[in-house]
Amino acid sequence: MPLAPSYPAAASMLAADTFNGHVALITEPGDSVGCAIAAELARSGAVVVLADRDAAACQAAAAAVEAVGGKTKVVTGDLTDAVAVKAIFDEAEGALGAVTILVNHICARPDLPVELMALDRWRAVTHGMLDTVFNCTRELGARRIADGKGGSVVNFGTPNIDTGGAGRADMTAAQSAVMNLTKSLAVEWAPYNIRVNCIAPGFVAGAEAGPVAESDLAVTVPAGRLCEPHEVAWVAAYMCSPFAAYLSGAIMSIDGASWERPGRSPNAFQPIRTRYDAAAASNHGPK
Amino acid sequence: MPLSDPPPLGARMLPENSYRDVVVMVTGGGTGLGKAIALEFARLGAKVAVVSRKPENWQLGVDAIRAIGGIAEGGSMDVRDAASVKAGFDEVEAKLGPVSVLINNAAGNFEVPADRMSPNAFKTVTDIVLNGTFYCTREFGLRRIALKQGGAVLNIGAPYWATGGPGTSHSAAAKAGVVNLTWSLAVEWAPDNIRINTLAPGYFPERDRSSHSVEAGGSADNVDEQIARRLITIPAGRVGSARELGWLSTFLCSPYANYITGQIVVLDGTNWLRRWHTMPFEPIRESYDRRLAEAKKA
Repeated sequence: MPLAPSYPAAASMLAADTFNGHVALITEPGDSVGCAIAAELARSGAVVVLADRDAAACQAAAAAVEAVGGKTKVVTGDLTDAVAVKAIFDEAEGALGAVTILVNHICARPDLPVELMALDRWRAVTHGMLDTVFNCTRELGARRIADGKGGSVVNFGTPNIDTGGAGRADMTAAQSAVMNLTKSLAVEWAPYNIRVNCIAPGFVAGAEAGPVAESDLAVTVPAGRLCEPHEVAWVAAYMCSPFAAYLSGAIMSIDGASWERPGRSPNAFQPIRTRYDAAAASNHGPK
Repeated sequence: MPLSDPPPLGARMLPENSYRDVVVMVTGGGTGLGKAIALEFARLGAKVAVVSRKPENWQLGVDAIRAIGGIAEGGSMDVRDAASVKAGFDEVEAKLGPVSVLINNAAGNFEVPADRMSPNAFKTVTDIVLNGTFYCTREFGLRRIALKQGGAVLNIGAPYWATGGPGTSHSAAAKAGVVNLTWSLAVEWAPDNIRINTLAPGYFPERDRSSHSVEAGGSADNVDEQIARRLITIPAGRVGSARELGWLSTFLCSPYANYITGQIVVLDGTNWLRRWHTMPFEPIRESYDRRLAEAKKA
């Protein structure tokens, strides 16, 4: 028997009034994890702002919030642009009040071997991920330091910070930088009651970008299954809640013991390029 | 404004009765942080097995849990002795049923510079913290695997597993060993639905264990001074409250965290991250001698 399933997605963890009066902003909410977090924070009482480059990317998450009876607002703009991010906060706060919860969620980019990675792609991924986190976090920090309201930030990293992420070198580099930023900001902003934590998910159902099919990923995990998106959402909800008032600078990985496993992997090592080519040639090419 | 104070003691994080019919064993659960963690499981309906070496210690935990209307039984166990660990499991399981959540909280620690640390001191601390954690976890794992039922283990570690612990090198080495054990067993036992994580608390002063304070020169008479001295070094601007460890423990051992295994979670108000941004360095031996002399004078 591998790791048992958690409670079903419909089970909420925190009391329904936990985040009453709080506005939560979630970036890049388009994948399964973004939707699950939006729904979990909404049914625990938060008003949820969804922010991405275009409204279409926020549709699924908005529907997830509405499905649990929550209130949501979609705000669009280029998250890698500090001026646009300021405008996003202005619009959200003008309508709903101070954003005190920020979830810097980033959707996965498709795996790519480095020798096939043009500089443009490297920059798009590393700049896209890291600058988005920096812009949004800095904007929240500046506002909450000024008004003394405090806040909670949840970043997204990788279980592969110590091992590297062969096959997804650009994403792993950016996520590792986000994890380090988490720790620096946690210390810098503890005096202002702004907590900064990080979730490092393994393979999550509905959140992988390919080209390796999700069904081929589960067999690599000691847990024997992929992570379900609502399991990530419960971690995020805990981190943002007052029950975690002393938690800051923490990394919580949720990966079914995946990164600890290399020493016991029974299968022959397959070069990254070989694996990529095989996956890309199958029906599971990059989205 | 420092980090906010937590909700009051007794506030409920997980849904009511989240641990109904679940037997939770807490080693060293009669006093201090172990007792506080045990209480949070009890509040959620768990049947708590409080085990420690001395009956007068586990009795304190059992009494505290029963005082809030919780279910608890005590048992004697010396975690340094595998036979005693087995006997302790037998004793509490006869009363409560099979243990499915194990909190490895029992520990020993005292500040002493390495050059003044006797081999016996090193052995005593590592015996309790590292070997004791292994004996208890092994006993738990054997029983869960035989029953073909999963379970959750939570080790209580320390943030200095990652940085070294100048002044408490025995404890730091043992806690680092516990972290490594966490990683190994997470992989070995994932197929058996047994999860194992480590919670590394920062400074959570507990008055009822001040009589055996870790700090050189620390005693029951100067707890407030100890707290004041540490408080100014913590970026969070406050010390931890034991119930905060309890809430995180109940989350990590619950089905809400069924995909979380092999994790080391630091709960310390960012304290271990502040190292390079810190106060003047005082050599460990000088600091140790100074505080012992101050305590003697006072």
